[in-house]
Amino acid sequence: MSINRYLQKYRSALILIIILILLPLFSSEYIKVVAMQIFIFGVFAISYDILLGYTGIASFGHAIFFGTGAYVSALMMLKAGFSFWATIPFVVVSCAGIGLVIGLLTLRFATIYFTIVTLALGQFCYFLLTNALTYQYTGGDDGLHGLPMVLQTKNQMYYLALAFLLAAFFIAKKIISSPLGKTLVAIRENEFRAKMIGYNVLNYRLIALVISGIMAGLAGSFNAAMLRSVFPGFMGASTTIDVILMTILGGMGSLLGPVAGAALVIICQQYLSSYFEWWLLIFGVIFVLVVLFLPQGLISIVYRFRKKNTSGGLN
Amino acid sequence: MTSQLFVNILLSALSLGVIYFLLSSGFALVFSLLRVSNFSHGSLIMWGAYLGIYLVKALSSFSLGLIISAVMIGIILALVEFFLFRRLYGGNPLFELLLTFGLIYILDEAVKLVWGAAIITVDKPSFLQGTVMIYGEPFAILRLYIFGLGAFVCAGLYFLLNKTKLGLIITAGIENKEMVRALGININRVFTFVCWLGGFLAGIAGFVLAYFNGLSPEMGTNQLLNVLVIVVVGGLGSFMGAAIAAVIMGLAEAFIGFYLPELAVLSSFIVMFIVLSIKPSGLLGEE
Repeated sequence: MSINRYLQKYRSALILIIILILLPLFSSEYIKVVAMQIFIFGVFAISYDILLGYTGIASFGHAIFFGTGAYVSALMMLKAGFSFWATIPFVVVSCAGIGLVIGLLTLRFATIYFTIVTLALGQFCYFLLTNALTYQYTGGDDGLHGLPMVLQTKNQMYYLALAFLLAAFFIAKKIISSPLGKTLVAIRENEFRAKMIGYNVLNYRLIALVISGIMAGLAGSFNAAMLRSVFPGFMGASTTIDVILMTILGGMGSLLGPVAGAALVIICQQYLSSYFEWWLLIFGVIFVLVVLFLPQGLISIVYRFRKKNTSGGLN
Repeated sequence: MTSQLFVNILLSALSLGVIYFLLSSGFALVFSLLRVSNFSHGSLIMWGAYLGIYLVKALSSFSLGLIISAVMIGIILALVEFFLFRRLYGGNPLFELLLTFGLIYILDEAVKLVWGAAIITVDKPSFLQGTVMIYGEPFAILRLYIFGLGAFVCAGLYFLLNKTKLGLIITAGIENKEMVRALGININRVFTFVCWLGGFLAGIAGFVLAYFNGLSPEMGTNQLLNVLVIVVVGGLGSFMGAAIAAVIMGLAEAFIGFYLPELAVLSSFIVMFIVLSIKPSGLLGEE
């Protein structure tokens, strides 16, 4: 493919990336913070989509990984004096371990078991963090604060978060289009058939869960580094609910969808929640409508529109 | 521990178990027939609580408030089945899951809109106040009333499922839906009825819970968690299993709460992890 064709194909993506790179030059501090939140939750939503959209199993406790990543990083930085980058391997190992344990316990059965157990486990972890017994380590409801700076300036943090999102996006894209990704989709479409062909369904689901868990954990520890504090809410139901909203509204089964969903949900949280007390009710209605009539999410409207335009030109 | 104290804790534990049975029976019933895990069950319980207490005040009648609110909660779930679930049967069960998850927002936010986000305390009617002496220890009349209601619901469900033609169709449908359809029975109508019944049970459970814990907009989510843990421990799809698990949860919570109060909140999870690691499909779940 010549450079020209390549540029044409990814024109809108390139324009978007350039806008995002230039954004800190003319935006306020507040917008930068909101944008960083979107980048980090975008990664979190992509990780969720690998599980929900591509593998077809719903976790209702995905915040377990996000919270684990955040707390592992925070605790090691504060109590053991590790640098942020040195905590990353531990985040990866602990999230992979949690994913393996949950998966081995529940994925052998109907996937609804996995959904319910992750929901319960998420609440369990939340109680554990806010319990009096662990207060001296986790700071209870107050969380942990004053994490050391990873980079010197806000702008550098912004670019780190952007790079994190882009890296996660491309890695996820590689995984999805690899034989592994194709197998996951095959299992999602027809578990029985995949089994008959000879795929070990349990193993593939475990791999998906571990990959998704690691990615969510990394998003959590980047979130901790960016806010320089962690809260038990990272582990709580509200974080899980946020990521489900982002993925479903944006569009599961695509990688852009969850990121767009993250942007939508976070912007609404920041700007709408102060005007409408009942914005969540509207979100609930939209959520139900999307599930019923637009299973590919809001991004599928964009895709449909674009397909109409381009197919006219190509034919 | 004296035997008096032991009996007292045991009775509290059992009444807690009865509450858990009321909470989870509707969910278990709907799941066993429709295979839909209704995540909005907790929110329906909350609606039962708020609406029931509101109606008791408005109609100044305890039993009318209970019955009308439970019937109305049933109608909500029946309408949800008729207009929403039906669109998704035969497709990926993931979407049913997500749909009921989305309903949580709508129901929970609607409660906040109608009754506000503050915690509301509920006054017991005079005939539920006070205590009786059982085995030399005082025991709240409210808990006795819960025993009575639990027994009544249990007997009603037993009668419906085992002694009526409709119950026969429901139990047959749980075993094999296609066969029931092939015999010329319109099972979709039975689905709607079972959803109504599930909502009805949620309404009763919420009403009881309101007198026990008061009203708060978080009660739906908290109860959903209890319900899910109970049905998983009992074995998904097994109605009996859920009942047994409810009693076990009540026992665990009361006794762990007595000996290790810090762990009381975690008691149901502890039970769940023990049961699932021994028998991952739950107590009476099919392998």
